[in-house]
Amino acid sequence: MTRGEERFNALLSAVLLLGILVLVNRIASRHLVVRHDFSEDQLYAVSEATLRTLGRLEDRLQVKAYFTGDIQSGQIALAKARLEGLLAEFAALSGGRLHVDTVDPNTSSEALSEAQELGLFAFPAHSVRGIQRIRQDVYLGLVLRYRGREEVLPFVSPNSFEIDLSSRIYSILRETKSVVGWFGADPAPGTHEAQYGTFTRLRGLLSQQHLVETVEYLASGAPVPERVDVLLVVRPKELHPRAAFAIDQFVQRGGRLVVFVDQAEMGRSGEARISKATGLEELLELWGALPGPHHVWDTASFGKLPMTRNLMQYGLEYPLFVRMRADSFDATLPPAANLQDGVFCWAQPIKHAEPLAGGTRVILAQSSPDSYYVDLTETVLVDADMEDMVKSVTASLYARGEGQRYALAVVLSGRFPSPFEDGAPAPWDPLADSDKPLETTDETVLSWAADSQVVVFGDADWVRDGYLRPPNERLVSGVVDWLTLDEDLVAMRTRVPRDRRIRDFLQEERIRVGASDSEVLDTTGEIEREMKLEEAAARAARRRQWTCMLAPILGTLALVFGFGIARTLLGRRAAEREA
Amino acid sequence: MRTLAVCRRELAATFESPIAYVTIALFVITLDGLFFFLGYPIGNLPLPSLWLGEQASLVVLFTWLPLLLALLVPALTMGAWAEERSRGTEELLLTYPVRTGEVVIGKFLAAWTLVALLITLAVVPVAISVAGLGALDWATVWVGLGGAYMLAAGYVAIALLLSACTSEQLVAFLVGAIVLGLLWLLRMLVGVLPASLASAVDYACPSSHFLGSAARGVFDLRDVVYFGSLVGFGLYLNTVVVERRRWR
Repeated sequence: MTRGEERFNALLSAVLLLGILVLVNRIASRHLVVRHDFSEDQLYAVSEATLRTLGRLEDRLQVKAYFTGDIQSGQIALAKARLEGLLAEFAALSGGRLHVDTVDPNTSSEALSEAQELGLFAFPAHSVRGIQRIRQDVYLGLVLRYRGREEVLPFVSPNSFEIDLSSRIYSILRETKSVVGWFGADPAPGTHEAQYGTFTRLRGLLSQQHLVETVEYLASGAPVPERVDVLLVVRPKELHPRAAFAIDQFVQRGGRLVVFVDQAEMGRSGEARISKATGLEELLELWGALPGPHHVWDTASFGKLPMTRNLMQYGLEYPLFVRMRADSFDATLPPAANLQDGVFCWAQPIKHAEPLAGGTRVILAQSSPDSYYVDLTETVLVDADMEDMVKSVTASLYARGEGQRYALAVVLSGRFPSPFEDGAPAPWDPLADSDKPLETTDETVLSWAADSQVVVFGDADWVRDGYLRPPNERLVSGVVDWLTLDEDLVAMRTRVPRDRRIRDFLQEERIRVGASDSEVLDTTGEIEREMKLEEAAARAARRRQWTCMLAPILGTLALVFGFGIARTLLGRRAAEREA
Repeated sequence: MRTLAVCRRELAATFESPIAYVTIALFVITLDGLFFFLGYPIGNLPLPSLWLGEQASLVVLFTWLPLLLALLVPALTMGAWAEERSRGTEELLLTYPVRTGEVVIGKFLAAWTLVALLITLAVVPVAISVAGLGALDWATVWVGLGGAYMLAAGYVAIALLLSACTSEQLVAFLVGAIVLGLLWLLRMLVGVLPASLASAVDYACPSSHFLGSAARGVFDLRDVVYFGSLVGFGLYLNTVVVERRRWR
């Protein structure tokens, strides 16, 4: 064989091998779906709840993917490829019941008009070709059809694909959707209260899974319709006793209730006003879930209040925004399991009470142990002095002594007594004399009648549009899903990474040296002593940090160089022996 | 057996030189220092350092690995063939009663073992230290280490091939670092590439296969196929390149 022939053979075999390997990888990338998530959090594995949902498919589930075919942007093309892979994985897991059919609205006018009719929207994707910046309308929507029912996902992202698709499959599997009744304030745009946000996002969020109906005539005492499964009473104000009676009887019939009590109204300059009674005080006190008139000031776990100073935006550490951590929630309750975060804004503590006979009372969420209560009518919080005010209020609270945890949301289960056992209040009469004692009627009043569940939150601001961030969304959707008995939906939502916070050396050292932030320092001597303790704690914390960093590095270097030295010495000895 | 003999010879030669010890020390200090102090500030989603992020996780450590290995692996393999050629020992080696393929695999195993040892030495002590600070997910650490070994295997195969193509160690290092660095960079360029190229480029990029699954604690058989193909093709070409010199 000549050298030229050998070269040609080598080149040919290399090209052939490359071709085979490319083919093998192409086949593997499409068909070899052997994947296992070994991590503890299981964020990259299909959840048990999703598998159960797919297992409940009895018929063909048709998934029509409206995906733009020739996507110009590389990033979005990759996202689309991931979505197609995930859809294939779902189809495989469904045992052949989930069928995917892909159409391209950008090339088919029929698909485009279908997509538009279904409410799918194209989002603008930008890419660069040569020196040209290209804008392309991209569709990445899904439509699910099952036994004549239809669910639409206007836009899907690989990051939230599992929860988006599986919750829609869960929803489409139900013959009828659960009905969530909505009663309460939704401030009209332009009003003073509307500046703090409406509840539009919350309603939209709940509408994805449930039928949300406004219970219009409840204020005048009309009964809650039978079809309502869960009633949400948001920010009730001065309800007529007849309305309280209607709510009470709804619970007595077994309906589940969520109340968002909120009596604080913050003024434009940060000053607080306390609104009048909710009208549900008697009911909530009897059941053991009455929010107190004060507000919780959490000195250890708080959120940030957006502020502006000299045209610069910054976040003020604001103890009236109580930040929830993993230990703030009762993990035994499904909607709170795995929750790690959430913020309540101007929350009222719920007074302690014993559980009702035969029932349970569980604290769903609570503040940190370093919390105090404050009277917002006395605590004037004005923008200009906000930082100083927060410091001075905190110092005055420390003077009261140790803080404590306050319940901010409770869950009551079992049967409930009715405060209207002596007679139902007469229907609301707008022309009646308000000073006249309330008349009662002889209609039947249910009491201790049926098992139910009531969840009371000492705050409503946390579900307003401006504050409804993903952690708060998870909590509120989880509670409603749980009350509508959709525990699988709750399980899908509460898949979040576990909090793996590392030890706080500074705090540990502060405790060790005896520095305490709960003391009020009056004299110069006390202040100096405290500063010295703080410095000592900071030095010790830094030392421990350095130990943690240097120990692995120096340990490894010692091992490696020790090995090297030992090897050299042994080599020399062996050489000497040979010599 | 002959492959293992070559592997032992290569490893012994590596530990004869102080360069190996210095390289190990530099790698451990750099990777661990970046993890504790800097975090990962590159790309769209920068990651904070351990003390800033306050989470017991090695994700920052694993995210740095593809880039650091792109510099380390050529440094360790640059002499594998280039030095043999410059010293003139390659001819001698190839006159031994071993096949070229066995020598290539032996050299590959030696370099891979060394890099795997280095990764273990850089990761495990830090993992033990972090586990003392918080609830570290050990399963993710082990899967991440497995993925890092596969990534290292791919890099070693490429770097050895480039070393075989030249007789200068410095050239072998520079070309190896540039090629592996470009492969790392490709992942960041995917977003601006045309869609027709993006998927193929993303698939061809070794760090995508590592960071997309193993570094998160996910085992994916497709990654094994990919790295297996990369190593197989690299070693085959390496054999062909050395064989060609034998024919001359």
